[in-house]
Amino acid sequence: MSVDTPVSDADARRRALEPGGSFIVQAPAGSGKTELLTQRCLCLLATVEYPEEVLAITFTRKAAGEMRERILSALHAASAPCPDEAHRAVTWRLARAAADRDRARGWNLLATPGRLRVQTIDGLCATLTRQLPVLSALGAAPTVLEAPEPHYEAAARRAVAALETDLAAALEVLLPHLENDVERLVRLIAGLLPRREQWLHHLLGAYPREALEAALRNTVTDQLERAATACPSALAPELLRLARFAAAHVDDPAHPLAGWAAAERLPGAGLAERARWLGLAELLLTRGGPNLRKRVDARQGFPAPSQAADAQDKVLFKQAKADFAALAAALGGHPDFLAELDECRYLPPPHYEDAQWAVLQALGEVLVRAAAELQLVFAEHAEVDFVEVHLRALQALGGEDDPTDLALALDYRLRHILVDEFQDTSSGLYRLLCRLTAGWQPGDGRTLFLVGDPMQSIYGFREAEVGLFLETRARGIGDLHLEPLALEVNFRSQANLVAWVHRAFAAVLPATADPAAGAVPYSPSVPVRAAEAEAGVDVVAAALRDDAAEAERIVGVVRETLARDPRASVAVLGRNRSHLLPGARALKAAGISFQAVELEPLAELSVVQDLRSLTRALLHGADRPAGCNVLRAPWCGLALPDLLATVGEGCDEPVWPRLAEPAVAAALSTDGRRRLARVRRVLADALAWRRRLPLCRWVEGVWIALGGPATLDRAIEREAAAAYFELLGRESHAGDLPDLQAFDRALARLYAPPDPAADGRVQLMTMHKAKGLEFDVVILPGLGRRPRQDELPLLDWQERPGRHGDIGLLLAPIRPTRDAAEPIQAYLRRLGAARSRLEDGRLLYVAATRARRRLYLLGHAAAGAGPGRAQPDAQSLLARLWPAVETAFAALPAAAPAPAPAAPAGWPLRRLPADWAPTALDLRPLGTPTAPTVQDVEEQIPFDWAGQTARHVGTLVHRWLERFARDGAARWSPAQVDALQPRLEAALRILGVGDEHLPEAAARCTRALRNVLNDPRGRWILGDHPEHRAEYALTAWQDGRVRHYVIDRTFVDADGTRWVIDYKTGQHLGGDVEAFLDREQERYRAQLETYATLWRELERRPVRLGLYFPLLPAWRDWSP
Amino acid sequence: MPSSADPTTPLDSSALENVSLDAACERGATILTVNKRLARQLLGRREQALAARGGRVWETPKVLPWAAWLVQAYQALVDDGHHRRHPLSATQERLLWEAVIERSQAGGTLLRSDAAATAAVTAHRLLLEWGLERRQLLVEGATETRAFLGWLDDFERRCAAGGWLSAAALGQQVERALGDGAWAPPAQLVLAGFDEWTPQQRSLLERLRAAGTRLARLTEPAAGAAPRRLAFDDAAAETDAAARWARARLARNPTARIGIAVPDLRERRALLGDRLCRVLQPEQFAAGRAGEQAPFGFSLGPPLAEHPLVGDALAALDLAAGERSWLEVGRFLRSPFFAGGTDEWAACSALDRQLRAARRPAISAERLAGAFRQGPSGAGRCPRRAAAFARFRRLVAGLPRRAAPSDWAGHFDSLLTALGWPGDRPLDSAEFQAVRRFRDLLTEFAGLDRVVNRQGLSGVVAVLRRMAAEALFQPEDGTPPIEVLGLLEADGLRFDHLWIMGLDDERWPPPAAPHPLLPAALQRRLGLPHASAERERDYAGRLLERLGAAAPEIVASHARRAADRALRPSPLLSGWPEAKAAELLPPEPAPDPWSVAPPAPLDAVPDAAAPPTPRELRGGAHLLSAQALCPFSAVAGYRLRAIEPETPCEAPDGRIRGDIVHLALAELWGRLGGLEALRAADADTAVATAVRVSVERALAEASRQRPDLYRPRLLALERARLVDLLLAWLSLEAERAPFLVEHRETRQDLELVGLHLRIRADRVDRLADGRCVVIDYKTGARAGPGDWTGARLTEPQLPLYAVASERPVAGALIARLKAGSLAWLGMTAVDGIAPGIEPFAGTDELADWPALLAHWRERLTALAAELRQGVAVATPGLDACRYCAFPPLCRKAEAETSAGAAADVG
Ligand code: SF4
Repeated sequence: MSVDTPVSDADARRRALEPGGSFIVQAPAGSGKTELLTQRCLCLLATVEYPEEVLAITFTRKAAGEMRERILSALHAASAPCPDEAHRAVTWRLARAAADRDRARGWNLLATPGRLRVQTIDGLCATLTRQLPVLSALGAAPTVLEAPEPHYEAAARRAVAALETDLAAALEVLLPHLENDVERLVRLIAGLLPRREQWLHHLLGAYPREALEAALRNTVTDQLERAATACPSALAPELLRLARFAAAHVDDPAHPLAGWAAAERLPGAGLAERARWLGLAELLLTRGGPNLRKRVDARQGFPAPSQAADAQDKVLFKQAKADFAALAAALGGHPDFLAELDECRYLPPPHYEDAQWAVLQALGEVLVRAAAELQLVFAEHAEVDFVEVHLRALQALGGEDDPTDLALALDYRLRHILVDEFQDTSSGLYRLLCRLTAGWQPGDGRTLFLVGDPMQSIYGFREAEVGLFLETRARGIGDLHLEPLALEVNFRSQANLVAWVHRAFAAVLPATADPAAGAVPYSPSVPVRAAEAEAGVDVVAAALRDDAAEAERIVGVVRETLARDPRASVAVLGRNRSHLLPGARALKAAGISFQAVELEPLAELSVVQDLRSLTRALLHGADRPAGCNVLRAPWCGLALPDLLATVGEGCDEPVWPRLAEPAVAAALSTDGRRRLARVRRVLADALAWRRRLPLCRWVEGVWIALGGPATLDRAIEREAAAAYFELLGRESHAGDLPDLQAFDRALARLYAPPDPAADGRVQLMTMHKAKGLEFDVVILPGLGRRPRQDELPLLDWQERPGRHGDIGLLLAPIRPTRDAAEPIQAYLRRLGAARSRLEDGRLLYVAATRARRRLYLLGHAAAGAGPGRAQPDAQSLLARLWPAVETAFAALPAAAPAPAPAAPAGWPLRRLPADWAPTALDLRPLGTPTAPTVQDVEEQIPFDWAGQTARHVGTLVHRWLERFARDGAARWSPAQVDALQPRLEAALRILGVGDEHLPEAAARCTRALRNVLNDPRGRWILGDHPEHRAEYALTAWQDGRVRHYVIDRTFVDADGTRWVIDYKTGQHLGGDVEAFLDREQERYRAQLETYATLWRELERRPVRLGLYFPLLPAWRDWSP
Repeated sequence: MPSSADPTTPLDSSALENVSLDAACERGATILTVNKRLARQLLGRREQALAARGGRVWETPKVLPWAAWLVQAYQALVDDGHHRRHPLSATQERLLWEAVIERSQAGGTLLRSDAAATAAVTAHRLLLEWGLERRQLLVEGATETRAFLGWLDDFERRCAAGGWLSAAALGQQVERALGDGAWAPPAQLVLAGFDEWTPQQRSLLERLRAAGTRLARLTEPAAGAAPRRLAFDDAAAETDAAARWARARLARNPTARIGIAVPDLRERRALLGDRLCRVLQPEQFAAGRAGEQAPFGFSLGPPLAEHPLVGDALAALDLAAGERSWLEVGRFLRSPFFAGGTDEWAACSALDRQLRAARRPAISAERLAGAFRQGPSGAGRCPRRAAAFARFRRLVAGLPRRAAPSDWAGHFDSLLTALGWPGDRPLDSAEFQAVRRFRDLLTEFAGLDRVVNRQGLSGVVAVLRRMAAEALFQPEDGTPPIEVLGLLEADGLRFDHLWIMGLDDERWPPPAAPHPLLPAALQRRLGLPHASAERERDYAGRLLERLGAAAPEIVASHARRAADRALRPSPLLSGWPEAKAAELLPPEPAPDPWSVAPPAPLDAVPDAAAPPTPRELRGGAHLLSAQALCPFSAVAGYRLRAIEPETPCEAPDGRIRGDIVHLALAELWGRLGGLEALRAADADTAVATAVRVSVERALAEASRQRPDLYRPRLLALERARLVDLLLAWLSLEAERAPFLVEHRETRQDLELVGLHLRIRADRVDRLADGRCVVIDYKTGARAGPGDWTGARLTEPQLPLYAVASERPVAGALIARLKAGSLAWLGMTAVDGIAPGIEPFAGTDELADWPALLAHWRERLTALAAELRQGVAVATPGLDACRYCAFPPLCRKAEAETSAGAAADVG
């Protein structure tokens, strides 16, 4: 196999496995970086004391799982003989060494795989904060929310509400800026809070106008300097001459060229020179881009010769135009200069207007406040977002000057850190890495290993900073210099594909690196796999967007591919989820099963909509739409006339009570009556169970009883229903859905579960999700489509490393609602747009390099006037790929837009037959559960709040009477009881008697105990009789169930009678004690007679029952 | 056993005398178990054995958990006067720590001081149980440990001052008392289920032995298991299989004792409950009442606070604190757990709907009471809930501003009683238990006087709520044959069949988790629980070994995947032979509740016609608009009135803001009268004044309706904005041909083919020639004239006003009042009526202005006729459906998929 022959980058690969060095590795698509990471992990494991000293950070949990799996597999395989293939032998040898280390140190990694530290950044931060609850100031691991939006909104709302309290000044500036639209401001702030990791630290520090304006000025002068540098010096004299000529021929002193009139040289980088650059741009470039002017006229200071006052001028004018044409032709060879000159036209003003500044400052204050409010909201709910965990982890790691000693907290020292996908590092992770490696020195045995491919940096929308890769490669991290290594071998794709990618992306990606602008140039790959017969890349060009045709084409390609090789894998990769939907529908229609994650929103299916209505109707008795729909859904299916009669024409009352009204039923058709009767019965039954079952189970049960499952004929509907109930289970609390809007939001995020029948040969996913995967054939649909646009944020900012190493912050506020433009904002937007164009190019690179054998590119570009003038939408991916695919579109005929197909109107109502009835289940019955164990009846007295203290007194008196009986009453005298008071108080307090009741309660206990000891009857009861027991616990098997009893006092008297006595510590205030005792005797007769039956089971003695009232004291006894 | 009798050798568990359960009971020995569950099972097993032997009544054996035994021993010390200190309950202890932490420097800024308190409680327990030296902690500890030690000092100071004792210190106290001779040791103790002893336990046991207590160890013969393991695709499949297996075992032997043990019961509880219900009670499940009398039970319930009955009680107590959010008020109104909860449910729900119509996010008790009293649907319809709430409010009025928990507990009880809690329905067994548990909780809460300051209602409700959130509650119906429990809880128990699930390599052995407040290295050295991976592995291995002998049939299982990660079997299972699912599971498919309703062929009936519309129908111009867009939506919205309850707004939204502009303009033109006022000599000041006054009026009205939205500063900002807006707008009015404003928001009746419509034009102007112009103000972003020349007038307002006008109409204008894009839009008969509007030039079909007016009349009449006839066909369209609320009713999604499905077939 060719893979085993030494590869061109073998040196880099060897170097990467040196345990003492720190490296940053550029690993293009298909270069086998995961294997390299695994190998390095193994090689490091063989050198450390504890496996925990090696930390690998991956981008996703999935990647962490895979890497852990690889390491473990390698360790497993280490006990087998060395494999023959060279690259596997490398891994084997490394694993062997690691396994030896494992054995020598007794780690037993295979039995405790948890010791391998392979984590995502989220996981790492969670670990850090868990182990450092005080330093991270979290207190304990809080719940981390997947969807924290409501908290953002709450925080934003509170901040804006401070208009009426202490944030008036700022909000009084900010709100009018947005036409006092509070809701909009709240929404915009809430939209910024998830990105606070980016802006908060800027806003928190001093916020000096001077520094920010300096950044603006630097931006301007940097750009002017670039223009000056790019200006071809050979052409300078001619430029100067013609510009002066033009300046002399414009009359308007405000004309951009006017400043050139007395110019002696070309302008430099000074702020004052900006006007002349603009004039030059006006002269040389047409509007809207770095395009050379082909013709000049009077507007640019080149009057038409025909306008000349005299012949001399006429010649002069004519000559000037000719000179200009010559100059233009010469400048055509300097596109970079034209581009830089063009850029000068969009520069921001070098300072803020006072009004702008006021808004910016106000905005800063409000945002800082919102971030503070967010902390409070988090604290109230004991929930945070992932960002907070990052921020807290960072905080826990300590400042630069006083880093936290992690070894103490974690019980191991971090010696080696490996980071995968470093190109998608956010500045947050970067800072975390800096702290983790604070104080690391080259050669001190601690190493950092960063792997990534800047060409595959595609997470800009999640704050990934591709520039960090380039910067780090150039400067290292902290004191740690990282040796750059580059892999170049592509193990994945056939040679033709590699060659195409090489040609295409050398043109698509920028020529030079620019960390600040996020520009990454192409770096080439060398194929290992041989070229196949086919070219590898097919461009399917269309003149018009036609999703259906494109989808058909996808089906065709998939069919063809699988027909040729049934084991081939095909992936359809879309930029957005919506770009995949047409293909998904067409594949389904064609009967091709596929795997897709989070593709089809379930909320759009009627089964889910009906379930939502059923849920709402069951929860809210006056939710009329839900009520109507329960009667309309296929399980009931009332036709419109019946439905109107049932719910009442134009009426706003709850639907539910009407269902039971005879008058309503009378107004229905026979069919309607039958349907309604069945559904009403089910619903009436259901309501008796309101809030008694988990909501999901209740709703599902009602739905089944209504016949819901009978109405589903497609597998996806059944899965959707199951997914709905699962969601309902997750979102409900205490049998209710407290916030229906929140539920709807969660419902909108619900997608069809993966098709269980799909074997993974055909997969649909977004390009982002495809990162790290590979397929035989890759289809990229919808390349001509324009992505959707989001609402513009409130604050634009950009950290901009200046040309002189200084980092400036560019900040712009949102433009006022009523104004058309805000120049600083426009400038930043322009930078942002350029960045995302660059990222789009990389996204295409990622998508295209997923293919092993063949790549299909599907897109449309509107045909312009005449053949060969097709132009893709400027925002589309196709526009990025244009240089590589333009030729395929050249031959497209101009086509007229097809008329939109008319939507069908009206359709039949689908419903169960009116006589539908459930089927009985044929099941083997199960035994009934064991009957409950019943406690002594005395325990189940009704709750009596006021009686709590009395109950505690009773408990304590019982306890002491047991004690007296155990010790023998003779040992205790009434006088001793008085001395017990403090002990009794202590015991009562422990039982839960409040301070204010304590003396009274203790007094009552003392009285009871003294009474007993003073009372001959009491002394007799406590006396030393044969077989006496106190608090005697018995268990009985009665009526097939177990019962537990506790008997206060029992003994056998001299006559051989078994006494069974119960103490009653109730008080009786007022007269007629005898009547009270009679009542008590009746009340407890049954209880005591049960005791008697117990004793009859145990022995043959006569039983006599007694009730003793120590507080009175009084006594009743009888024979059962 | 010689060594166990020798008091000088260190105690060794394996060297203790072994006794069986029966022998121990017959000896009358006290059996101490490691936890409550084991005590219960031992008791139950003994009972079963005796009952099987024909026993009827017997002395209850003394089986109790170690912790309860310590409490009893301590009680004796108190009764004997040796001790007075009050052992803290778990809640008291946590609250005390929390107070300590919140006051400390390190703890004051914590996001979750409550959770830190929980951690501190554990750290303190470990410190006592393992006899950790503070000095050592100081030497080895970093910030976290130092913070903890600081808290500990304060905690101990407070304990000493308050006469309290940490529950974790009981063992020490008893041991000391034993040494002092203050406590008589029991004659014999049998220990059950202790895998290992903490140093504290060991030392107490050694002392007991020295004092002459006969110690023994409860042992039972291994159940002779041949454990096997199974792998499943995911946790759901694994759970399904376990449920089917349990059903099969139970069907074979109804008295079998079946266990399902899970390492992460808390996370899996919902899934397990769901699958067990489906498989074991499919009939009940299909009737919406699964869970009653279930043949399975969980060892661990959800928090008590999540029981509906308790959750609603807590929420209701909050109502006493003042304004509550509309969601909470709605929850109270819909709750079945208060008076009228059954019969008045629909009426109370209607009341909620009515309250929501006012769109207030927060509702005071006063407002709610008012709604009960005078809601348009009448208090008569939920009299019992209304009366209960009135009683409640009377009590609320008499509540103290601040009080101690024991006071509050009494108030809470009476407040809930006043509301008729726990409701009119007879309680089922689970509800009965929940009520009892909640009352126990209230009692415990009443015992917090000395750890919780006297404070106001909301503070104490929060404390109670937290207690309820921490108290797990599992209603019990006897001992069900199938027990679902955590792995640790299953330790020591015996079953006939045991399935241990979730044994994958991520969970078992669990990763090391040293306590964050104690030095990690120290914990590892001393072998504290969870301190290191090695310890976890050994512990997990031993536990699994014991579980592997706990039943004659043992199955272990794990999933192969979780989310997007692959899982391996726990390495500790490597010795267990792998089985095939088919060997263990019954051949028939799992019972499925859905199969009571197998897919049935559906009827399809045409349904595009409603009965004729009555003459009177609310809706006005919007009704016709809906009919034009999609006739079904008109039926749904105006005849079925399937209208969602309102959602409250927390800030003025577009609707409210638009209304204010309308109001202000109506006011303004009332003052100005017409164009002349704008052109008068002194116009500038007069107009400015008129604008100010009009804005003032409009805002006064808005803030009268919603004082919560329009508070002073926002009001001031809005005043400025509106004045600017109106002044800017007037400059566009000034460019018009002369006019007089004739109507402002005037109601008008219009009869179209027997349909009576009530309409109201924003404004009607009269021109110099006597003709009039109808005007509509639009403040939204999407303000533009609709298609007024097409067949269906989907924006029929202005045409409708034109048709209704008694004078000839010369124009229909939309005033777009959006800052930054103020403009006149619309159509006029002649030039100059409004700036920027060209006169109607005719189209192919409509030659001129009169033809347009005729077209409007004809189209509107046709629409009205459609309505009258009951045309109700759904006509989906991009615009119509985008903001439509009726897709489930019109069955659009269904029609699309069935069309798609039909296409699939074709
Ligand atoms: S969703 Fe569309 S088709 Fe259905 S009622 Fe609304 S507008 Fe008509």
